[in-house]
Amino acid sequence: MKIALVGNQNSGKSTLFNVLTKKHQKIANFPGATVDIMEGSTYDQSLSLIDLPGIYSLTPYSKEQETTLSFLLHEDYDLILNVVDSTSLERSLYLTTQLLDLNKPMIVVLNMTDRLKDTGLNIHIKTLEKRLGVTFFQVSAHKRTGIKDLLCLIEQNDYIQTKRLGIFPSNIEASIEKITNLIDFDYKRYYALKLLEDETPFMNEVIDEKAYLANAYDEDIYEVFAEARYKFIETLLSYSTSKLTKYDKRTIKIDSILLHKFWAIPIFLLIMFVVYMISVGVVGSFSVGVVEGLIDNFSQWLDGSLLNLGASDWSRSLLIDGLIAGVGAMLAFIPQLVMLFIFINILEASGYMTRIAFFMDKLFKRFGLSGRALIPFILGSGCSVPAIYSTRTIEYKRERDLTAILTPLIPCSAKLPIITLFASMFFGAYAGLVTFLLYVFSIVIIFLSALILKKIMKVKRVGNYIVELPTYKLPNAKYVFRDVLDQVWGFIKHATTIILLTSVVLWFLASFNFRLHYGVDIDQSILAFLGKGLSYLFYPILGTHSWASSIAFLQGLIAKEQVVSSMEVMSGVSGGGPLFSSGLFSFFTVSSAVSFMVFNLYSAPCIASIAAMREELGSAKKALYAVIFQTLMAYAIALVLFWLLRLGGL
Amino acid sequence: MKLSDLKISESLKVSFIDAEPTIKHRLNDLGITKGVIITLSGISPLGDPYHIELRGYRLAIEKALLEYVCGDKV
Repeated sequence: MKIALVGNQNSGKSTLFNVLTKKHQKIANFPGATVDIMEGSTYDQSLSLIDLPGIYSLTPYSKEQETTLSFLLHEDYDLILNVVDSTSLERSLYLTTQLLDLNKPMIVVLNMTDRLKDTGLNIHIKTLEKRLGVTFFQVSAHKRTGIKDLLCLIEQNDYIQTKRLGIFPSNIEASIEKITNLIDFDYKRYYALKLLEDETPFMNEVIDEKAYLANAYDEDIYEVFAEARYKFIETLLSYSTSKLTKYDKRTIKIDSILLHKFWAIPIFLLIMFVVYMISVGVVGSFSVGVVEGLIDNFSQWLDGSLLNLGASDWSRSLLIDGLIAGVGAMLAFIPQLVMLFIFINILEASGYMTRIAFFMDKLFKRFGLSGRALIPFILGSGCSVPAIYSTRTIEYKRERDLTAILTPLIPCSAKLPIITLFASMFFGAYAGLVTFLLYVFSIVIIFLSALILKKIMKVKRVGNYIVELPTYKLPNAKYVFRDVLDQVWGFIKHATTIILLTSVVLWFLASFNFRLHYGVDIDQSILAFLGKGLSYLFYPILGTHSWASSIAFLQGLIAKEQVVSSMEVMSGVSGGGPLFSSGLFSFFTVSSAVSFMVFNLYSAPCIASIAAMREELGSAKKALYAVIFQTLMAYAIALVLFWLLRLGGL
Repeated sequence: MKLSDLKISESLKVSFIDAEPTIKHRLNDLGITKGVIITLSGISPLGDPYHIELRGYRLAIEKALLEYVCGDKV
């Protein structure tokens, strides 16, 4: 049995989906967290569930809403689970009345019932069921109440499937009926309504009915239908609920501070500053040192033991300089990633992220962006790939494209090691501050690029920012923990698969020459030969021919984590010791360190991000232009910074 | 008067929406229909967007869109 989960954005569909399937779909307290179809099955495999992006009506206004509508009309499924936020019934039931027009078996799941106690609202389920002809079922996906009973109900087909009463006044129902009878394919009533709403009708019968309705109501038909649905719901709720639903009082209180006229922006800046100071600054620098020490000790111990066992030079080098150097370099960054992910998840789950997007909208608009672009930008500090996909919630196509191109310019977690490595080496005690400033600098770069691209792409928006402000929720520690675990696990998987593999390849290329002699000087290796050609390109921004830096950059295209880990592997093969004292990288000065860092941060992102951009922009050509733009811009910034710092004597 | 003319915590009963169909239908779907009472609950620190309260929920919405919504103060 195939079940589609449909509901408003932020109604808790994904939470319910996770509880029912024991899967782990990302959850956030902002409208539009789900951007694609997600499938899963219940524990005993008897039910298959589909989590669809949230919609407010069966008229789509953005790409991910089109996905949902097209699923509902063209895919095969047996039952609709209409997930409804029971704290905002009036608006939510609007979609319910539209879903009823599909004439599919349906259960309305009243979610978030744990929050009804706070509001003192009572819902008379029987009245709702009688008037709408479908089963209403109360659950709290968050608190996991009512879930088992819901599953029983579905499995035993124990839900109401009666003929529904009309929602519209009888004269409108009569018109709909006439058109419905002309249609002989699925979803008759839905299509009949769409035909009547159509601004340019082509069938004579439709033209006649439209003329009649226009005469009777003096408004356009869409408006007549919407008004009638809401009237119906108002009446229904006056019978079935104890009082009018009011917006959450606690949220109003919190918003009076967090959205305050003067304090909103300073509070926001303070929060972000604290987040980065703690995760990157304090915890970051401390933990990186500790973990690096552990890995160093481990590799020395391993080296010694292997030597005692009589292992050959090359096999020890493969393990120590290839595998441990490459993968170890990455693992050292896990503690600070954990901290960063925890903070971002809390900001998302609490509902604060939507507020940030809200008050930033006006600023963003000047740069051709929607306030919603903030969400991909913040997610982008974790990983660009999901961040690029999340641009789907932006309605206006050109704003969406612009956001997808700009998102990789936010330093993602994989780029963080590059920053940390250079900042701690060249700025010592000021590393935390320099890191923070680099994020600020990235924001400046993003806005400058936005201004340029806005002109090129001709982005001009006519008032379309409109989004629900969800009520604040206390983040569920369990879900935050699971999200963080997922993200960190993804990072580790990356570090131990792709990075492991490329580290070995790199070690091989760095240790052998073309005659496959092991133990040659690294300058004579295959790798040096490959890197030398490229080093001419980097001469203007590094001030020297460094084949090893060129290779590190190329590695970054596979995955940004590779920049640092490949430098570790190469310096390991060239003789070990600290990275910046090896002959390969000792040339770095403040000026070349900054330009190398900047070039790697803003130039072409990793392959996975380029693929995501390709998908979201809709063509390989556009993605290619985006990559060329990013790389040229990065080169220009690196060049300017390098020569400025160099002239300043650094 | 227009919804955008309200001061914070003032309310208006909608009498018509003076916008092109796509915008109007969008507003209709979100519950902004004839006869509904809408309260202006706040304005972003930068002056735009606004947020409004209707049908038991809060909607963040650009000022330009509020200019389409006309009605009488209540």
